[in-house]
Amino acid sequence: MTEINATSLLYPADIQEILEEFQDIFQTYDHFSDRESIYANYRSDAKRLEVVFPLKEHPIHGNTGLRAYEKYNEAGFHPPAYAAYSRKHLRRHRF
Amino acid sequence: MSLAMGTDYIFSKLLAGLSTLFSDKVAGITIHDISFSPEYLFSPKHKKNLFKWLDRLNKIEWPADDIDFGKLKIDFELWYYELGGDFIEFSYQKNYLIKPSEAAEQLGVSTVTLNKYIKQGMECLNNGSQNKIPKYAVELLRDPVYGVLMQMIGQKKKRMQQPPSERLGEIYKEIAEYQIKYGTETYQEAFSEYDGDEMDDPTDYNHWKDLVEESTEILKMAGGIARK
Repeated sequence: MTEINATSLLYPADIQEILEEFQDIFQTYDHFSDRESIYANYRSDAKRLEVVFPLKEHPIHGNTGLRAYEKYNEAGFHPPAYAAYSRKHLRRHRF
Repeated sequence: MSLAMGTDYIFSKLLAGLSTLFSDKVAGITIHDISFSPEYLFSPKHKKNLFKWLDRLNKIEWPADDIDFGKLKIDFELWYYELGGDFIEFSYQKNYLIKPSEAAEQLGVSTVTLNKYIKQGMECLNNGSQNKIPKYAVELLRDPVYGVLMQMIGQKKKRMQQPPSERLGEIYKEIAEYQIKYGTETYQEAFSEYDGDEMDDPTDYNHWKDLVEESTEILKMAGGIARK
């Protein structure tokens, strides 16, 4: 897990930019094996942003995804005036 | 031609195109007028976008398949909101809509999982008697980029229109699901053994905690807690 604790102002993740830059490593799994298909997940509100990016099959780790989570402080996230962050979490999950 | 005029020209062309070129899919588009956001209008991002849209206008092919239409629709809506718009809604031809059960089968998920995606922004219309899903939404969910963008737009639209009381009801329902899942009343009890950061998967802990905080803030806004 990578964790960033920032005391200075951080801007919210630009999801569109991230998707554009890293689209080559993302992949969904349609009718995946013996379980449900796996698609990207996005949840956002005034308190947090949480995205699961399913990734292309890794030669060693297999089918995994990246869960990115960021939380906003009491002021919340009200674009275009960005609020400070408390933490950002990145986790890699195996499907 | 000024930036605003140029933007208005391209935007209007796209809106007309979406309404007419995809008439096999789209029955109509309802849209509030935009007062362009000056901050976005004069940003480098917008200038870059304008050239991209000009290029895209020249390359639109028809008849378009569901995924090409879906991508254009989502990109257009994202641009509309960035420009300062606050309401846009598509209506579809009847034969362009499918039942949730059909969508779930095509996607290889259960209807419970499909409902989760619908809650997260996958487009779904209530036709009075039942819910219907436009065909493009099924194709877009399969796309790792546009699946995210579709959910982003859907949640943004919901947040802009949802009254606090409705959001509070949703929060209480989600908290109840966690209470049942963990058999405790509070997240502190459920995760009493852990510091949030030491868990292998703190997703439920963080989400439950955020829901409680958000409900407190909504009540504060409504003045409920201030009266105590």
